[in-house]
Amino acid sequence: MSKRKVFKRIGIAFAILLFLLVIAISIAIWFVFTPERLTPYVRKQAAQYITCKSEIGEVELTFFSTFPRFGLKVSRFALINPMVNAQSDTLVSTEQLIGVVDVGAWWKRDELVICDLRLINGSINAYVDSLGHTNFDITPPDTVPVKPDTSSSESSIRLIDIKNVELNNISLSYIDKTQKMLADIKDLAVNLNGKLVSDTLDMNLNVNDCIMSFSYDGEDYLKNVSIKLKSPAKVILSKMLVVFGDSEASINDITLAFKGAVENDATKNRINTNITYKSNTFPIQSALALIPPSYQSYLKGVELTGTASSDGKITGFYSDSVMPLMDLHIIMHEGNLKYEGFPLPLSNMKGDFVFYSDLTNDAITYFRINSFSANTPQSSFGTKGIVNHLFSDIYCDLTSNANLKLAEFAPMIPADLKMKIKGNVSGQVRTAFSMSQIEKMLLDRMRFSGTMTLSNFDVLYDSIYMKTDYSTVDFSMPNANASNKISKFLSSNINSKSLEAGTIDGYRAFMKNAIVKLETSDIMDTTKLPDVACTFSLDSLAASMDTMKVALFKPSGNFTMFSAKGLNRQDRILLAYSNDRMEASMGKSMSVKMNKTKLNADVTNFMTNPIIKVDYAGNNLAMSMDTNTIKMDDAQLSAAIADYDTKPKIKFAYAGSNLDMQMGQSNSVRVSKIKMNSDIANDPTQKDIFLQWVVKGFLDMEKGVITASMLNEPIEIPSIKMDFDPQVFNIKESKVTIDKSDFSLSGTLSNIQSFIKKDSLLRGSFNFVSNQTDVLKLMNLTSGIGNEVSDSTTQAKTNETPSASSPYMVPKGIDITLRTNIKKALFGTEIAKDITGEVRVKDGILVLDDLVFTTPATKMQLTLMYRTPRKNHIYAGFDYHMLDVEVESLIKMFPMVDSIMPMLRSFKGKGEFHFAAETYLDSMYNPKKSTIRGASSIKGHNLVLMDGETFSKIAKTLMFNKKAENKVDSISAEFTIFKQEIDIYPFMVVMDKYKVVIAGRHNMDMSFDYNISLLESPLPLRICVEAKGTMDDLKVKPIKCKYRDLNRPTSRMLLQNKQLELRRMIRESLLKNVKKE
Amino acid sequence: MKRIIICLFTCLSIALIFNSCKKDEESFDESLLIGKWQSGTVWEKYSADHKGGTWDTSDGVYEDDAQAFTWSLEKSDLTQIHIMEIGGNVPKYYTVTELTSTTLKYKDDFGISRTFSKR
Repeated sequence: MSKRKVFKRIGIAFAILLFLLVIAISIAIWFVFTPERLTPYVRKQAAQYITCKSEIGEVELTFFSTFPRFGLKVSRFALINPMVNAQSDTLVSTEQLIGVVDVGAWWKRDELVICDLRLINGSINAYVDSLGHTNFDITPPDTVPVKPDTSSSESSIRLIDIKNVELNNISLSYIDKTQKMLADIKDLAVNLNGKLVSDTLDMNLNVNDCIMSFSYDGEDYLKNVSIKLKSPAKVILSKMLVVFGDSEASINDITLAFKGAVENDATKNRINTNITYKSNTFPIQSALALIPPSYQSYLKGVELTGTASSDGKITGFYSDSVMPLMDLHIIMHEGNLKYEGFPLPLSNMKGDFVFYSDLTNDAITYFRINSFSANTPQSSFGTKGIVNHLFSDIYCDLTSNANLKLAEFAPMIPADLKMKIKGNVSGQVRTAFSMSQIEKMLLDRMRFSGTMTLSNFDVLYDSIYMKTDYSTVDFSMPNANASNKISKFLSSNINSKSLEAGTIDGYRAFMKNAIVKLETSDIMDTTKLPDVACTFSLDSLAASMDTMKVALFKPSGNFTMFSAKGLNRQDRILLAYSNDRMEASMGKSMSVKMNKTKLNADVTNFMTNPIIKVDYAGNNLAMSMDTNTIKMDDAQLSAAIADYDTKPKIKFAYAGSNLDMQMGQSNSVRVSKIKMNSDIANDPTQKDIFLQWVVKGFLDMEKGVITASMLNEPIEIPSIKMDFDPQVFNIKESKVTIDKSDFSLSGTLSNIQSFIKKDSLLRGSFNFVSNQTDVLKLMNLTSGIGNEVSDSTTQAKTNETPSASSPYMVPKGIDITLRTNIKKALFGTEIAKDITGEVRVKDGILVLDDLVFTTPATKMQLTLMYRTPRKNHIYAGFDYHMLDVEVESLIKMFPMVDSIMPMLRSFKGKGEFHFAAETYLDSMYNPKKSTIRGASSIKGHNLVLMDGETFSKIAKTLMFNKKAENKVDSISAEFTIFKQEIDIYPFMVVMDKYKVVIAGRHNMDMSFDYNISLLESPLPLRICVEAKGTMDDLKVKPIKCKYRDLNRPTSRMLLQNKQLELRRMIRESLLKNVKKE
Repeated sequence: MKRIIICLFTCLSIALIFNSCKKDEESFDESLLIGKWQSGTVWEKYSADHKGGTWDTSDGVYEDDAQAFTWSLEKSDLTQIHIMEIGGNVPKYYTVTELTSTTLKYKDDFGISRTFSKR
């Protein structure tokens, strides 16, 4: 038989068997197990297993609808188990309940085993009251033995081995008062496949759809959300443990996969969880919609869209006091945010967050931002880090970066702040702080660090502005790399290509390529000043305020400030500064320029009793103010100041070269080298500023030139070295050149402070050594020092009219003595040589005391007094002693002598000449004739009487032998000057065999009246003549002899004796002043 | 020549004869001199201690500026020793011709006289 036939026959046999089986099943259903038979049976069996009231409609056996198994189809099934406060008396109510029957068990063991259960169009109301009583505890307790089935003819029903439960359009309500939980599920369509062994149900749960609401403790956590669930699970009923396999669920359009276990630990009244989950990408709005209503207020005004996903794990216990540990990972794929309080929408938000918490244990709770970034329309920013201690003192450790276009944020600035801002800020900032630290501003415990870049930055606050093209700011708080132990609070490095700051109508500062490094201690500590260490370096700095302008080129330096604390018991400021060039100006008339400047300052105890040390070195300093300028090369200055608050003491040292001070067009001081050391002490009890500051020190100056409009010639000072203190200037060495004068001056100037106090004269004692001195020029220099301007009262009394050209006024208030040694002195056109003696100026009196000098005519001794009581009443007196003077030179030196004694012109030779005279002068140096006083003594030997017209006339009268040259053996004469009268006292001329006595009066108007008596001659007669008139109108006539007995004492008459006594008095008074050599 | 000699001899004889004849000198009370005297712009001041001063207001010199002298009056001989500040003396010798309580007149050897009024 062929294989085909075999298969054909097997097929036919199978079809016949199948037909017979169907016929048999149909007969069983329709004729054996009819509803009328089954219904009472089921009701009876149900009553045995269910303790509550049940309502069971018609029960029929099904096969084809439950193919390939037989089932019991119950219509209008209900379990009624009323409980107080339950949502319904009905526990279960369904229009149709189908239970699939295990036919084998029924056939072999007469057991009604339901392995499949279907509920259609019904409701389930589960209730647990506050005492834990439930309305679904409807089976008899296990401890109660099941009543043995006495009816062997009737089958039993066992609700075990249920492999499939299907709920369709079932409403489920669950209220658990113990857990304060309420669940309401509508339109539930569930397929549950499982196997219940003992109390363990292995199942596959497939919630196709339902609308679920869930509340806990009065809070709606789900409200009519669409739930889908597909989960293999194992349920241990006794433990109320559900172990989920790889499950999938969806809440609305949020789909997630999960697995794990949930157990209701009734004994401990908690739920044990161990769930891991992972969602698909879901709309954020859907997730936000799940936020319970009481938390929705936090989202008021927030419009957040986008997609996100999450995965995580929930483990631990849930109870009234404990929440399970949540390890939630949330990824924001794309988000957009609009918030009412924030005018800028955020877009392209991306984030990766982890929330780890059991919502109770603060120590383990954290929110970690793995990454977050967002964009505003023109800016972007991002952050990462961790936020923990969420339930106590929130602590943030975040690293943020941003690229902000500040104009975007300008509208966020309150209008009353009057601030405008634009430009870009980018950078990264790390912040670590707690909220309590923020509230208490505990900056020393916070951490801020980062780098910010400002580009095209422009901010205006009220009238204050700042601009920068490009600047970077690095900062770190605390200062991790502190250069010292005390500035660990903050460090900041500022690097700016250009920075401008100022006020709109006021000051302005502009920096270029500035590098500033700043370190400080706690600036919030109000008990002391912060410690500051600052290093700065700039290409240039320009600042201006009103008409003041300052420009610094390449300024750099260090600034350090330490405050007193701990072991450091002194506050201190250290400054080291340098610049290549500096220019400053105020208006058009004042400017300062300087190259290469270095400044070091050390200020100790600046808060209490400052001690200041300053070292300054500058090159090519140039200052100008109006027509005044100061220029200086290589200036070095050191100053130390102590006891600043009480009695400041200053040590001051200055050295410079090429000092050039110009005051106006014609006043200047130039010094090649200058060096000065001084100690300055302050006496605040003094009122006068010169007395308040007591200066001691040393001055060393070389090659100085002083030019002044009041000086006709510049004063050159080749060198000067002097010590000085408040009372005494001790000039060790000085050399001065003024026009034709050169001299060195050494000595002391004392009583300076007393002079300023007006307690005493300014006293000086100097050695004045000179090769050449122009006396009149030096007198002009010192004219009028210390003289007060005469007031109108004095002028009215004296009826003096101030003249345009002032006379030399002797300085007042001083007592200066110059011990002179002058090789050559110029008095106008006259020259004196080898002058030695004292020149003393004392309180308005100038005295040249016993000056010995040599003139072309003779060696002479001079005492001169010049006193200036008033400008128009000046005293001048002199006392000449010429010991060996040529008569011709004498007349040349003193033309007045020729006027007084014209006969001297007739003599030639040398004689001794004493002449003292004084007069008062007006301001034009015109003698006041009524005040002229004078006395003179002339003594000569071996003179030659020159032949002349006058001599010839007199000689003819006296019948002299006419000779071309006549020797005069001796001549001795005195004359006095009183007002305009010059009295020549009788003197004798001895010539050859003649003795002649001459006496008479000479008047200033050049008239005279002489008496010439011939005492001895070859002639037997004594002839006397009178020479009277003027030189142009000379009348000589014989008269009675007045002095014929002058050379014979016994025969002298009274008048002659008187005359001789007066002569002696005159001569002796003159000789008193002669200095003995 | 003889005639000339005779003439000279005669002259000399006459001179010698009259030479010893002199008028008796007048005496004045120096106490009358004490005080301030004025002659035009010229002032003189005599003190009892024989010190004095002189000034001339036409030269802008006043009493405070007076230049000092010492004086003596013997009979009619008034001697003023003017003292120079620089050192040295200038004697002036006058013959008083009238001295009353209001008037002072003196003259010098050259016939220059001056009249003062008491002030």
